[in-house]
Order: sequence, then C-alpha cells, then structure tokens
Amino acid sequence: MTKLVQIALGVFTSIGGFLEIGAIATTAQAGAAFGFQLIWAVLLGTICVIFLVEMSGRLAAVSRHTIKDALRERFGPRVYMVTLVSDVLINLMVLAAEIGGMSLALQLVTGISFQWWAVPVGLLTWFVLWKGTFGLIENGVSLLGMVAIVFVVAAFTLQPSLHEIGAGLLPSLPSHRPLHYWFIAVSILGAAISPYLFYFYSSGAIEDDWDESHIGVNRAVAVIGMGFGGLLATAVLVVAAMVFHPVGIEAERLEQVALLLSQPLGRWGFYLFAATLFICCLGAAFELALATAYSFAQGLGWNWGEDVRPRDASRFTLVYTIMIAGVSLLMVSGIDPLQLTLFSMALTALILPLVTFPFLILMNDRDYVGDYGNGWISNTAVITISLLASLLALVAIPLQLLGG
Amino acid sequence: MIRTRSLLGSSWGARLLLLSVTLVPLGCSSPAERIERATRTASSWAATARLTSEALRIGSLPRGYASQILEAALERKRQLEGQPEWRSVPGEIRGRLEDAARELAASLDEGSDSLPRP
Repeated sequence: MTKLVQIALGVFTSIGGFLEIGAIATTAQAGAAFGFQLIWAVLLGTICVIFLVEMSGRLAAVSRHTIKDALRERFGPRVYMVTLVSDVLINLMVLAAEIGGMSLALQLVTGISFQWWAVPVGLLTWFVLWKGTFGLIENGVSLLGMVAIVFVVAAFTLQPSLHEIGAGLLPSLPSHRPLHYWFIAVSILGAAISPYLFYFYSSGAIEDDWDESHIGVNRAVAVIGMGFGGLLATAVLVVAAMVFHPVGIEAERLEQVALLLSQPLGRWGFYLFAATLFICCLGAAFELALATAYSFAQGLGWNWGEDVRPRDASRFTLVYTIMIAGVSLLMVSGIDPLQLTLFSMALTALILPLVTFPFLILMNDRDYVGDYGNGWISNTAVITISLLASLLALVAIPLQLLGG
Repeated sequence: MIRTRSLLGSSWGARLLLLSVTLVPLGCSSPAERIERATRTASSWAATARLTSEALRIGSLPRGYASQILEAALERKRQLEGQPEWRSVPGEIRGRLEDAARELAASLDEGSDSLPRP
C-alpha cells in the first residue's frame, strides 16, 4: 500500500475519532448559546490534539511502544494504575454517551425511545469488534464517517459572516452567563483532546506495524486529519450559531440538535444528521472500547490486538465485552445522553495533565524517541493547553453542578 | 537502560481539591437566577416548537420527529410548571410556549388521533 493511501486512510480515521457525540453536543451548545464566540475553544483543542496525536504516532513508530506500554515501563505500576483508573472512569462515561448517541439517532428516525435501542446498539458494537478486524474498524466506519461533511455544506449554505467567524477565533470574555460560557469552553476542549483517541492511535500504529519510515505519514495524518476534524466541529458550531442562536434555542436536549440541518438542507438534512450522529458515535464507541482494552492489556502484559482471534486474547476481549454490556445496561435506565456527554467532556479536561504530562516526559526521553524527541513548541503548546483546560474545568465543574 | 521514577507524592492534588471545595459555594444560584433560567428554558422550547412547526409545514421534517419534539416540549413545560419560579416567569413567555406547543400540535393533528395535547 502506498504512503498516500495510508495518509488518506489515516485522515478518515482521524475524522471518525474527532467528531463524535462530545464534539457535536458541545459545539452545538456553544453556537446556540454564544453564537460564534467560542470558536477559539475548538481551535485551541484542535491544535493540542494535533500535537498529541502526532506525538503518540511518533512514539509508536520510533520506540515500537504504545503509550500505555511505555508509561508502565518508564514510570512503574503506580503511575500506570493512576492513569488506568482515570481513563477507565472517563471512558466508561464517554462510551455510555456514545451508545446513548447512537440510540438517540435511531429514536429520531423511528420514534422508538432511545432506551429500547441501547442494548441492540451495544450488541452491534460488540459484534463488530468480536468479528471484525482492525482494518475494517479503522477504514470502514471512518469512510462512512465522511457523511459528517454535511455540516460543512450546511455552514456554506447558510453564508455566515466571515468577519464574525474571524472574531470568534480570538478568545473573548462572555457578555452574559459567564459560568456556562467557561463550562462549555472546557467541555469543547475535553471533547477535542480525548485521551482515548491517542491511546487508540498509538495502538493502531503498532497493529499496523509502523516504523521510522512512517514519521512523515504520521505527521500528515495528525495535521490534515485532526485539522479537518476541527473544521467539521467548527462547522457544527457555525450552523448552531446561525440556526439556533438568533431565535434563542438552547439545545438542552439532543432531539433539539437534530433541527440544525433541516433548516439549511430540508428533510434530507434531518436524515443526514441522524446518520452522522449514528456513524460518528459508532466509530467513537469502537475506539473507546478498544482503547480501554488496550490500556489494560498493554499495562498488565496480556495478549492483545483486534486482529488476534478472541480466544487468543481472551482477557483483552473480556474487557471490552464487560464494558459495552455495562454501559448499554446503564443507558437503559434513561440517563440523558447530552448531560452525560457534557459532564464527561468537562471531566476529561480536568484530568488532562494527568494524561499529558507523563506522556510529555516520554516524548522527551531519548531512550524512547532517540533523535525524534519533542521540540519546545510542542512541549509548550501541550503543557499550556492542558493546564488551561484543567484549571478552567476545576473551577467550572463544581460551579456548573451547583449553579445548574 | 529504561528507568522507573515516581511522579506521585506532590501536594498539588490536595491544593487543587481545596481550591475546588472553596469555590463550590459560589455556584449556588439565587432566586433571580433560577427565574432567569426558567424564562430562558421556556423561551427556548417555544422557539424549538415554532421552528419545528414551520419546518413541518414546508415538509422539511418527518412527522414522527415533530411529534417527538412536541412530547419533549410538553414534558419540559410540565417540569417548569412544577417549579416555584414558574409563576415569576413573564406571562408573555409562558404564553409564547403555550401558543407554540398548540401550533405544533395543530400542524401535527391532521390525520392523527394519538398525538399529545398541550
């Protein structure tokens, strides 16, 4: 396979991993409540995730270690366990939100309540993971995920003011509801900088047998793929700012968010929204379930790999099986997927330094990355954005919880 | 040679937790804020119902979805009506939500007997 095809496939993968229920929900709420004012948060998150994805691919290609594997080896079991526990808690919440997102997409189209869809959707996710290969998951769902481009089409159709979009790229203080503003900003950062994405990516690089010759491919995938993912998330925000903000719709439930595309694109817009929500959540659910199973297996020395038969990696398979079953049953209870999404995204932002700082140490350790260590730009960008997101989350989450 | 070092043992976690706990009381909302929130929510659902009615009328939305929006709007309205601050929400906003829900129900009403009534 040529490098060009690998880049294309990687870009598709990145799109599937970037735009999921977290990004759709947070950017839709941002546009609805604050117009174009929070585009800067999407930009900041995109920049940080480009660096982190590039770093995780580079670590895998040069050291032949996944992030978790290297973390355990470099820092010992205590640090590994701290990152594992925080990852598992967040991943469970986000996976529940993704299962909820798929179920809600089916509810929108069929009228049958999302709670009834949670178990069938969980079974579908599990079945594909059980039977499918890494290539199928990496490429199949991600190619389908290209349907998300419909948001860019809708944004162009609505002809937004480029001046206002440009102004939104610069951080500004909110004119109203400051608490909600910062909470949504934090949630956008958490949705963009999802640790499961780069754990999955580094494991995928090992599954695809990357070596130092893939450094260029990795860089292209990180910049073009994540950049395009950021563009899609910005398009959701722009459409919400054009459709919801002027009439005062707050998008407090995902059912409301489905109205986004029907105004610019008519009835097809509604069906394309449901398809986009379902496919993006399915892709993210695969990545979350696998990333968690990878985290356990790589740190605890189990057999792992999506291309390995389940019977040859039974504990790896058991982790994602239990995880999917658990969260599917949780969603049957009727938890609101949108509220779950917003809080899990904010919590993701809160724990970011816990994830990114040990990773940065690895990326500056010549024992692992040799001459391919980080430069000062990537170190500074990741440290600054992680700390900013975490501090904002630390203040915004309790205030939002108590203040509603 | 790969080294093993501990990152733990710093007091930063405790400091951040303390800061978080200190800030928590600031988040308690006042009655005025609760009224403002109820007003905003009622206004938002009125706009949602109105936008859905318009889209339904020109065939931009399937009826099944529009009836889900109506159900959600009515459920939210019932929740708001059960809150003490509902009486302080401006009558115009309350009326707007009532009218929008009725309008959406009327748009959906043709040919169906099983739709929720506002």
